[in-house]
Amino acid sequence: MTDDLAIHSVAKSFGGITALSDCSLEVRAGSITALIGPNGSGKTTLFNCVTGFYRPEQGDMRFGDAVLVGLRPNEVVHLGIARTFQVTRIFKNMTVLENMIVPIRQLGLRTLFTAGIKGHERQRAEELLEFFGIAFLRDELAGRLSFGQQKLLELAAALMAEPKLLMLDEPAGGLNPVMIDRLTAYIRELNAGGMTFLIIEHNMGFVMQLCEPVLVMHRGRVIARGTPDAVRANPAVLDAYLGD
Amino acid sequence: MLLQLEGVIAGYGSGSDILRGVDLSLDSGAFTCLIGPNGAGKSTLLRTISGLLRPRQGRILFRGRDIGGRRPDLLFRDGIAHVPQGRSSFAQMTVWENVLMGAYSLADQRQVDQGLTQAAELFPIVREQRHKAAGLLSGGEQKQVEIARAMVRQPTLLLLDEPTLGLEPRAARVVVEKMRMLNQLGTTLLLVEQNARMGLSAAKWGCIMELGTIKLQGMGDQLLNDPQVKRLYLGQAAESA
Repeated sequence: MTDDLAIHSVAKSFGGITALSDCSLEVRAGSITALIGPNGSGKTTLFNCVTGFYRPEQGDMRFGDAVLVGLRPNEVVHLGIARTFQVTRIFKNMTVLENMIVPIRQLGLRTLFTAGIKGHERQRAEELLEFFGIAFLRDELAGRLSFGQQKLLELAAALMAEPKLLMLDEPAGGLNPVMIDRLTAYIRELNAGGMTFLIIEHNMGFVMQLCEPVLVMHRGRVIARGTPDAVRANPAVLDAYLGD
Repeated sequence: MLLQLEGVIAGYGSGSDILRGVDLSLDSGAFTCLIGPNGAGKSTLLRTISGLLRPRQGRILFRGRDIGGRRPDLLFRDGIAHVPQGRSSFAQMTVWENVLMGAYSLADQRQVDQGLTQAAELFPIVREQRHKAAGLLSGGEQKQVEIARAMVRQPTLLLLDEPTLGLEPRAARVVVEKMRMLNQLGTTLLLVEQNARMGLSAAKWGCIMELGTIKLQGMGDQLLNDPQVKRLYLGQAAESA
């Protein structure tokens, strides 16, 4: 069984506002799938449902054989799904290096007695921090980093767990263009090594050159799916999102 | 010269210097875009100009007067408005109440009315959605409300920190159009933008910041077409954006 993410007829509402309704989509293992759509179309809500932050009212979500509905966020992580947030959620009062270790520590009695950071953990963390150009900040409190640097840290930390599926919520937002290029190349490299990606993004240059397929959400459901060129030429997508 | 920075050095708490000697001049009516790598000090520069951060060294002259270390509320009265990064509207308050907050420091009711009328003319959404809670607006609409709020006192200098961040392409284009319009009407703009191509095409003048100093500056379209600037700062990914 391959690790496809299959979402079927998921619904989620907040008070009277419907965020997702009859939302179905599939992310094939090994793909770099993009999820685009207007602000408020339900993209982040879908991420929150998949990763256990919200529980959908209806529908089915599976990752390979595993049923995702009802799992807690930490249980979803253990299945091999990691994510980043649109507004970064790092530990502001921990150092950059400590932030890198958090995602790979599992809760348990043993953790309580494991002091400090192990050699191989540090090495991997250093490599990732180096790649994203923030290794010189390793001992700085994370809250002191600039917005863009915090985003890079969150991304690096999500990669520490070596997930099978990495879900990125607007990874390019707030990053400088050269770093976006590096990120593009790195995602390709990780993808060649077998990692699957589901990416929410408004930067169309980034999406169009990196992702396939591209899924388009509008009013809580997926309205189009196809290659970047096909989606760009789809009148419904132009109308709902891209404009002219 | 409306704004002049000379050798400005600044940082947070007891931390190291983020700004390491910034020299920058803005003429009245300028539209300048600051670009540069993450952590270069762009947001810190805006905070130092608007008074949220006190410079450790150097001078900041606004209309010829040294304003370094002056309180942000006083600087707002002097004519410097700052729209920070991310969302900064009051989510539970209505759109109209949000914009009204921009007039908080005005004592003269006539001036308040005049400012509100003007803000609503520049940003029709302020009137159209006046009774709606700001938190219920889309990201692009909220950003317009934030800029409208900053415009109520009719500032001379408007500082904008990544106003298009997280906005869908159409909404981002609306915000860019609004910036152009405000500038044409006489407001001096200093814009920080990671979407460097968009920022440089909208602005007349571009400055590249790196490691806490202004490394290079020039006409926006000149920088856009400079091969070295392209390679070092603009990259490929945003090419078709």
